[in-house]
Amino acid sequence: MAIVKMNRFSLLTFERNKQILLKTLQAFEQVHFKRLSPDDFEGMDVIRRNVENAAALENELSRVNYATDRLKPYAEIPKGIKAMLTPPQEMSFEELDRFASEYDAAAACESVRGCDERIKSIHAELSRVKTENDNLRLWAGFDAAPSELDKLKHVRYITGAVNKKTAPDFLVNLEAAFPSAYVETLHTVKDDTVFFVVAPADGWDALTAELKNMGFTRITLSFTGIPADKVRENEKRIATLALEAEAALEELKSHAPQYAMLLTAADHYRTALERAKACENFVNLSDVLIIEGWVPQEESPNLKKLLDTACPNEYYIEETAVEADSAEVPIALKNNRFARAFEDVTAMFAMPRYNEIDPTPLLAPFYILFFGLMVGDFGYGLVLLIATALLLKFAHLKKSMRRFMQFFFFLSFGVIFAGFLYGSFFGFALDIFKVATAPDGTAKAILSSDYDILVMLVMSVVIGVVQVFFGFGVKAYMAFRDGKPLEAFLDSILWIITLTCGLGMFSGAAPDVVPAIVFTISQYGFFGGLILLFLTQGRSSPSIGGKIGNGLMGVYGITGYIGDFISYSRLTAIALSGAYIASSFDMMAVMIPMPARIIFGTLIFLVGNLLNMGLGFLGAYVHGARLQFVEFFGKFYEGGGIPFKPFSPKNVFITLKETKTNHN
Amino acid sequence: MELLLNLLNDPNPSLLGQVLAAVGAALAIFMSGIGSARGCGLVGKTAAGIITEEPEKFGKALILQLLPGTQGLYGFVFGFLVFFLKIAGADGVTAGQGMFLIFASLPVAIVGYRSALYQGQVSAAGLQILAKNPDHNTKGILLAVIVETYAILGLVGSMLMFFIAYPIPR
Repeated sequence: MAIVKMNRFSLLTFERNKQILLKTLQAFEQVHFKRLSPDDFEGMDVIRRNVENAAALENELSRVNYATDRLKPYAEIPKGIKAMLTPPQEMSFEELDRFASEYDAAAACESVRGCDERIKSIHAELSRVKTENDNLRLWAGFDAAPSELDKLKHVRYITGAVNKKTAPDFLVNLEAAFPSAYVETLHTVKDDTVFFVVAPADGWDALTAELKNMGFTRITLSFTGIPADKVRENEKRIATLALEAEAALEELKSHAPQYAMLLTAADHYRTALERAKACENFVNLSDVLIIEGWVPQEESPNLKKLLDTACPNEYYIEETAVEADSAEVPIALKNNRFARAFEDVTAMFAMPRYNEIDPTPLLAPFYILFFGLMVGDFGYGLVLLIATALLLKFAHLKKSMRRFMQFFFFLSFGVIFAGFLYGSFFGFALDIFKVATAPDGTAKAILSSDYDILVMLVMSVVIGVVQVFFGFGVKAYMAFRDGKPLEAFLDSILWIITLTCGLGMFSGAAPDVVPAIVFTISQYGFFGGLILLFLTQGRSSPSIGGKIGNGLMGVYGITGYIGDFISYSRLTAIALSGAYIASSFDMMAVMIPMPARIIFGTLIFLVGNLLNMGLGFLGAYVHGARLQFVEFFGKFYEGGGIPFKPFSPKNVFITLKETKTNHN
Repeated sequence: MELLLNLLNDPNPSLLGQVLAAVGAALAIFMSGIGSARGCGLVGKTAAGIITEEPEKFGKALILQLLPGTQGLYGFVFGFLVFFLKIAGADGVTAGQGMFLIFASLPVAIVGYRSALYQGQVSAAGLQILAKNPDHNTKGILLAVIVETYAILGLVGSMLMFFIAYPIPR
């Protein structure tokens, strides 16, 4: 349970060793690079070499991603539960390298891209032809080829439309004005009726002028042959195109078996890209490569061993232990299996600084208790326990997901425990949990929401007092550790005494139960404490005015601590809301008359409880974290350390085999 | 005034009592229901924009949309209890009890209404996290859940008033 001790190292080697060194360190997964700048080496001819292949690798990666996206629908990949039960492909670092050199990912991507583009162009052509046909079908009644009609010398023709309401009048009027004209009604589109008009060439201009007057709009024909012929021709073309599209799709599908290989190749590119990007941290002095970074102290001997194999006799390394106040050292946490599951809670707030302590093992028991008290249902706890246990046992989860599941696995015990206290099983008050006796003599659960709401509220505030005092204790410990016992007393222990006495003064409210001496001592302790706090809280200010002002501010801080205690009442509030909602759904389910209850009652029970359980877990997760972050961390923890991000392979699809050099 | 006091002090169950209790139940259900509907609607509109571009984010967007939906549920649960335990209960409701139930419904109704709107705004803003930095989507959810706290407190407030005045008979 601690922050991992780090060594700062400076490594010099020749540029020619860079690639092998990078691969070695990447497989090692224990080195965090410092970003060097030529400015750090003033007066020397230090430069940063350009990163040669990062852009090219990114390009390759995006091509592979394109291909895998395209192939995904056709690849035989397990989905859902089956996917979780399928072990991921395991490879060693060397195997991945060898695979990448043997498998021609670029060619596969190229042919996938080729197929895809062909399919796209075929579909574009298909939709063009289909649109053309849709348009031509309208002209099905037009059984002449415009190219032929254009050759006529003594007659001329025109096509156009008038509003369909005026169409009958149009026909009559045209017949009357130009008896020599031949008119044919072709079709009606929306509000327009389309006509074909033929008339002798002489007098044509008069006819067109008259047509314009009658509201006739000309339509230029978009085809030259007979529409029906063209439609038939296009239909044949559509059939051919459809076949071609199918063939192209079949060809694309034929690449689907390569899906897994392409994903592996993508992992290779990601890993190589990571190496290329790591080079941005290094600088060069002519042929010498300068690398700086951090390595965990216990891994330091392994680092030297690896360097001896990677570039024997061609390196120089200097290591120093990191000083406690360093702000730039990366922070890694090391905890036992139990506390490790809670590291994400700490990380969500902030990693500790190097001179702080890791709060993870301190918050873990509280978190379990808080989460449990807020969800507080035996049944929900069992569901969580069984679900997470099954997932952890049988499913192949990514490392981070696995840790998240372990987190909930541990939390489920808190939920089960609190569920027993509240006597709640999926919202029902079961008789077997009724182990205490109510004032009216009936059996009840230890903390029943019918009798004990006040007890529960007081209990949650007491838990808050315990955690806040514990936080002060940790702060005192840290001050002692750093050799500042006075600070430990004035900033932590004095607060504990003052607040305890302040709470002790409440005993005055029950003079029959608590001896009067408790009240008297509390009174002296409380006011004495306040005076001491007033005198000492401003001690770091240089001026008298500052000392008084900050002293007052320090004493005023007591209101904040009282607010902190009250804040823990959310433990009860959230527990109650969950219990009320669960029992309301149960009530609804039971209310349905019998034969229908079997189906609909069960449905209401399941859906309602599932919803309430999800809400309960979410709320308890957030508020559990909030109590740690605001009320608990506020007493002793600052955070702000940089997380340790070791230079490592980036795998999404495959899992790297654990070797003896990587073991975290 | 005196008439009103007499009515409220009338120890016998009455239709007026039932009507007043129904007003309380209705307030709890429709106020928080409208709030949730508006909150969900706000998030849904924004979510539709994101899903147009990236349909695979539907599931995560749906969670964010559902968050302001719980207030409606809280109001419904309270209204349901008032209805089945009091209005449809065997003992009937006196006018005074009905008035009490109206006041008891106010926390869940008013807090539910407003907090669903505010939560909808936070959720809609959380969708931006989902759109631009999906790895941190959970943080958007957490921000919205903080707003939920006050709806929970509203429900607990209403419930406490209800159950302390009318413990479930056993």
